[in-house]
Amino acid sequence: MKHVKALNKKARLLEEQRNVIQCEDVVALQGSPLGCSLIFDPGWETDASGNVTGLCQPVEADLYGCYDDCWWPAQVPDQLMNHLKWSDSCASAERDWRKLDLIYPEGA
Amino acid sequence: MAIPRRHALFRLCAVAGCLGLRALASAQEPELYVLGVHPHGIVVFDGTRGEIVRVIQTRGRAPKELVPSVDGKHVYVTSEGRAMLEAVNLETNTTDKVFEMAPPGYRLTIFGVVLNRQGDRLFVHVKPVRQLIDRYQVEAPQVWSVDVATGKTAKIAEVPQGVAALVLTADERRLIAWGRDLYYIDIAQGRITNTVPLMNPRNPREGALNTLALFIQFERSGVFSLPYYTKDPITDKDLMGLVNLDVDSGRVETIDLGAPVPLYSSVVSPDRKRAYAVMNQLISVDLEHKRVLDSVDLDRTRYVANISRDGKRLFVSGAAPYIHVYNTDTLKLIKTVELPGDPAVTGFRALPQAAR
Repeated sequence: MKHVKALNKKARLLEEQRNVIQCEDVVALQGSPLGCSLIFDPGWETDASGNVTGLCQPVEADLYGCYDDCWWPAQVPDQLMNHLKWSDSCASAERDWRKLDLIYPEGA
Repeated sequence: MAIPRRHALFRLCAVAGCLGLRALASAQEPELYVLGVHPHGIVVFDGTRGEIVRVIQTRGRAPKELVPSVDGKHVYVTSEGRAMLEAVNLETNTTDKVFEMAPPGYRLTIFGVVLNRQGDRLFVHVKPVRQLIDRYQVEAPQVWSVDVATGKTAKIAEVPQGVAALVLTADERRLIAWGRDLYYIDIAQGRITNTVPLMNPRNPREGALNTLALFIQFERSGVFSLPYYTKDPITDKDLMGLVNLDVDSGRVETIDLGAPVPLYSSVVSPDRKRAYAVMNQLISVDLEHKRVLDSVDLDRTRYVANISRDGKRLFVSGAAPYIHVYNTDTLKLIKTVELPGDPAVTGFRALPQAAR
């Protein structure tokens, strides 16, 4: 890769960004302040001890908590940037989760 | 002229009656609380009667932070994915004003709002992103002041990534930004002048304290309290506790509570002797003796709690569409109130007493 050189403006920007990103300690969740406390990691599937007692119950009750602040962007749409209208027709995820639509990648 | 005896008795009864009625009225005086619900509403809740007073539609979706005005007639609300700051009038049930803070070509995400004591100046922590044609440019998080009357903004200081809450000390000289650590910002100097470490301990024998400063309520006690989680670097054990920040003085106290119970947020009683914290359990903490007093399982996850003025009732909400009222002595459920929507990552603030 050391022989590959940026030729145009966009490629040079990408190179610059790569250098910036190497200096940053947070990349994926820039919009979110901390992520859940350590005890809640690694996420929806299990808690820190590999069990489920540290997870939210029922999962529907926590759906908007994760949606609101882009908590698990791979599993739940994010409200901060991309899917503001996702919950418009569903005031309560626990009561009306069937009203929530699926999110498809653009162009799919 | 001598007052006939039966008239004097009548007057005595009337005075006593008035006093009694006043005491009764005082006891029945509504204690109002506000919290945001999906898809775009603010619920005003009367804690005395355990009833919803009204639901107000906000301009933006999913209200998050709520900051009552000094007279309790307005609430400043972040909404629309934290990009919007609106002033909601609690008397007319409408949004009076949306503060247009973002410069052209920028998107702001707001994490942290606080109002000064005069009620004429807001302080906000914003994360600006410049939206260029071919890329987004993330700029340093900043704290701004906002003139409530004119909406004019002024930058005060840049802060590290990770700030989620702001408070203002009583002398109004310092803002405290709660993020990975606690950053004390001197407003006049426009810079961070002190840092209390949480996630970045200075002593290698101390573990990092991980907190989640998204649930902000300290009206009753003046103490902004949050659960922390850590791993003891020597014993390698998981531990939890509370970080208690005295909002007026800026003084910080950590309360070690031993083995962890998953908790999202905590609230301190008006006499500062107890704290209550919630997630899948509700626990009470003796702050004087620094120990967990009691714990009960909740039927579902809860994010946030606030407490009545007399410290006898705990209002628990967040996540599913309910407010549960608990007795703070026994941790027994007194009442459940159904909400029109889910209160997700929302504040649950007490309004000033003047509010109706």
